[in-house]
Amino acid sequence: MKKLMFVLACVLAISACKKESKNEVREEDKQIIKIGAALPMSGGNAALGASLKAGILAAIEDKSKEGLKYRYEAVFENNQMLVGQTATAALKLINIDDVNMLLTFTTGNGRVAAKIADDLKMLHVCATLEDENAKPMGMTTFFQGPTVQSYQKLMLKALEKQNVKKLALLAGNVGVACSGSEQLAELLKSKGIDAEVQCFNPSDRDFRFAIRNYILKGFDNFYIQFFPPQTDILIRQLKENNVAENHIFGSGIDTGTDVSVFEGINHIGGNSGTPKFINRLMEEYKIDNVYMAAASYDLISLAIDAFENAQDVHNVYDLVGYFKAHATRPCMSGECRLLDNGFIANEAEWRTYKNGKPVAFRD
Amino acid sequence: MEYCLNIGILFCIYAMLALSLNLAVGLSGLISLAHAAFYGIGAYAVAILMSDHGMSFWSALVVGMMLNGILAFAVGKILSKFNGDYYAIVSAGLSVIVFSVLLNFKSLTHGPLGIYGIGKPQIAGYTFFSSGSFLMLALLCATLFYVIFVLLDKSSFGRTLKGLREDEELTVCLGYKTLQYKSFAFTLSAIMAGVAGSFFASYIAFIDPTSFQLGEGIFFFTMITVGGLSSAFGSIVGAALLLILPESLRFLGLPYETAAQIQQLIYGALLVLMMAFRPQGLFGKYRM
Repeated sequence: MKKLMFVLACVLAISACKKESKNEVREEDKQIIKIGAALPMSGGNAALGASLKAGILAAIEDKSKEGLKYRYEAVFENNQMLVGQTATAALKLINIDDVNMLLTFTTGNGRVAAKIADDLKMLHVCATLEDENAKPMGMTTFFQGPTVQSYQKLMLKALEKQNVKKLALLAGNVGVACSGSEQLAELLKSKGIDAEVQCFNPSDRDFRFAIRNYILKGFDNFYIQFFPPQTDILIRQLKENNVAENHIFGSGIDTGTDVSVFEGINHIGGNSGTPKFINRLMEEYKIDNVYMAAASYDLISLAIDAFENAQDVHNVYDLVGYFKAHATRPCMSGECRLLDNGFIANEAEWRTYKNGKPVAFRD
Repeated sequence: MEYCLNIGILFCIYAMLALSLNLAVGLSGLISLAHAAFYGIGAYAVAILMSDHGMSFWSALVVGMMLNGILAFAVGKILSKFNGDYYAIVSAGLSVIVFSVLLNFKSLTHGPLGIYGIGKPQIAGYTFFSSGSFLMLALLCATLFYVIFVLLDKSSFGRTLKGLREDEELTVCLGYKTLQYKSFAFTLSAIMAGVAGSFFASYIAFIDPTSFQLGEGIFFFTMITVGGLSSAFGSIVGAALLLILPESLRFLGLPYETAAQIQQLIYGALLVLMMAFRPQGLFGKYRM
């Protein structure tokens, strides 16, 4: 009897397993959802493109472990961070590579792709830093990143903590860097901090005269909001003038490949994620930096959830509806919060470098 | 399909630019690097007037043409005092000035944030909204530019321009007021570049100063050098080649890690080879 029971149990177990494997769709048989990304992959901003790309691949890798209905693949195109190239790259991804959604980087490129996405009824997401009062992004577009206001709030807190009385702000005429610095200076002045802003053209390389001028005027603290290579040059030229690391502040400055120059400088980074995430991306994807990688990770993770839950993956409004309902959530970039204009605002975060490696910590 | 239409529209815009620049460089021997500036002024005129002041595309286009005409006429007077390399350097200076104005005159141009939501042209209530209809309009304009170039090339005016290109002193000795000829050719060329910029702004619907840097001017210069100086057909071929060549490299199936860099290397190497074996360009009638 015991033997019979054992055999029956075995037969039942085997048939149950068989049934389960019958329902399970093999990975290679799953419908493929293609994620297209138009990113800077050559030139001065290639490090940013590599970082965003790592975020996308990590999101696909992590989500795929959850046992998904569809198989997700990423397709990348170089847009050289130029608006004309973004239009061409986005259309190539949509028409030739047949992608199901788009990802871009920075507001200008995002605005170009947003129009294309609207016209062709496609889900589009963009990782960027934006003013929380910016005009709506598009019917099928969601931007994500820290807001200019969240940067300012965090910076003000740090400056007050360090009892800074005079601050010279050196910004680039790039994106929201200059206007953001001007807003920050106004905020600082209202709090009794003597603040002066100077904006430079993107081609400028020598800032010694401005630095000397500020030092002569008694400014002993400096704030930088620029992109590489100017950030690196500015820090080196500040150090040449004996400005100590703890007197240098910045926002979104460590976007290049040589991160050793940022050692000891306190600044606000853009979407780097948790320390574990940073280390994983740097080791697994062999990248030097993780600027904005958490934003692309968050956006793609949310997009994968939207595809998995959509009635029809080709109906953009199903996907948009999911985004609207679920974009406000805890995310890799901290707390994500969907604003009325389609911007998913996340927390700003402090970033510093220890032994050449970035460490991010939230306030 | 949209991708092909996009390439077609960009080709028409580049063809307009190449024809306009070839009018100054190829036909008249004026080595201008200022065309990115005129292209930018045309684009910004349409963007500002349409987005911020609600004007129609055509009215904004005319204002842009007038602005470019006035600026080019004034600058042309200064530039006409220079020749050859010096002309190129001074014209490059103009390009840098215009770029700085576009970047820093924030109350007008919105600075680095750019201008978005730029509308499409309309004729009798019909909006050229679809890429197909926009392509037709751009193609019509590029064809018109081609005809203007060919007519000028064959006219006595064109022959005088070629004469001053080959030997300015001799042309002066023959009794021609070369300064006026140079000034007219430069002004017309600038107006045409502005029209191309207006089409670009309306098509992309977003512009920022990065599209109008000196580097763009050098890119336009490369188009006509590759296609052939003083040749209308060469301008078209140059525009097509410099647009299609990098695009075709997207289809090589290179690994993502190195694709962008290899594409740039191949593109650069092809240009070097072309210039080494065909310095006058593919259909060039004149060699610098």
